[in-house]
Amino acid sequence: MNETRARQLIALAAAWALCATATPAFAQVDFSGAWAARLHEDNLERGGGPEMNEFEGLPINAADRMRGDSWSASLWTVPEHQCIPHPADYGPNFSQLVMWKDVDPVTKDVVSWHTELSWMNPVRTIWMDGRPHPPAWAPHTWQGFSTGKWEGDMLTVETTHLKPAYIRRNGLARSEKATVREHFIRNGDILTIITIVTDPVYLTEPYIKSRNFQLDPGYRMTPYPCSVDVEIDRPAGAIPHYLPGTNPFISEAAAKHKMPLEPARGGAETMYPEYMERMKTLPTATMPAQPAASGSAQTAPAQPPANAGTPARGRER
Amino acid sequence: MPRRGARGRPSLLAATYFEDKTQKIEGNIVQFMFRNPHSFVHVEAPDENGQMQRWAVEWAATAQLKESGVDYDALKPGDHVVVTGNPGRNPADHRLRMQSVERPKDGWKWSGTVR
Repeated sequence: MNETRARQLIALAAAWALCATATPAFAQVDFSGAWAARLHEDNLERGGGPEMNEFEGLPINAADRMRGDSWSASLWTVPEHQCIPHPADYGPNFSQLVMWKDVDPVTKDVVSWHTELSWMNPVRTIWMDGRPHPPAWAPHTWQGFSTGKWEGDMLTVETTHLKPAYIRRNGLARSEKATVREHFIRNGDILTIITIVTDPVYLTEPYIKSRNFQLDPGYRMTPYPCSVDVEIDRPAGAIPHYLPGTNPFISEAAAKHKMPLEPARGGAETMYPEYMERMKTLPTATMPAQPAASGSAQTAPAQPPANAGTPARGRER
Repeated sequence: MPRRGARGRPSLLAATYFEDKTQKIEGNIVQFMFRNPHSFVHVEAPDENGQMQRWAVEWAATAQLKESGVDYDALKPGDHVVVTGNPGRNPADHRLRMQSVERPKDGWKWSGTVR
């Protein structure tokens, strides 16, 4: 784990926040209000999303790479997947954000902060009253269990008990054992959220990203009714997927962007500037021969594992 | 007060469809699902081999469609339509991403970009 780099990034962001803020020193910053997402970073996580098998810049291990290689976008049309909200560590990528706080009527202490995102309207509570996180066996949810504390003018939030989800929408998984640390930093009308995902199952180093929002007082959150329907007619229980060695699109994104295949396969080393020197020594990827002809994801009904019984508490489906 | 609507499911466009390819189908509407996260139009039309298929044409979320002048009653089962779109990567899905739809009977048409 490259903790030095992580600390450097966090320290830099914190110093920037503390120096530039217009808020009086040592005051608790007020995040209340509506915030418009600024989509100028990490385009792969925004709007149109990533291409298939495009994993560069992510500290994934071999197991996560296999999850990505076996994934088919048709999975989103399966009824159980159509209306799931993005998890707490992914939602801020592109959604509008509204924040408000609960204040103790007697002490006037802030008991909790809440966030709500426009996509599916998930609401998260960040407890500020010092309560402990629940035991490991407690239910896991899309938003997890969050506690916060002030570090100067920066709100630092620790989140556990997240359902298994994803770090990129093209199949790269994030496990339920992951923990997430966030830093909420306000500079005038700009809110920066730095998210650090640590996952002992699928990541070899912390995955660090920052997202910016601009205060948008006129914004009003709209309801997001989502209905589950038969989008694609297929047998009940069928799960689109690619078995190992059958995904015909693995080199497509790399070839399309005229880059070598190796960096597109991801891994911690692809996050760092020095990797660019290695890229210069690698051959450019070639386009798959006939992706359309062999590109049909399989949709065999999902088979329960041999030891399937009562679903493990907190596991996703 | 501005109500910038919640957008539809942030589409995995490149991962789901061949964005550099276009396919046209002509047939009758079986179902129009005006909904979130994305609307769908199901059309019964022949494939390139002449076999009749139920095509799933992915459209936009409700707010986006309304913004472009399409409401829940714009299309009805039985309407004969010509649809153009990007074909899905999984041929078994018989799926398109909507680029245009035209109803020759009365000349109604829509074209645009689904995001």
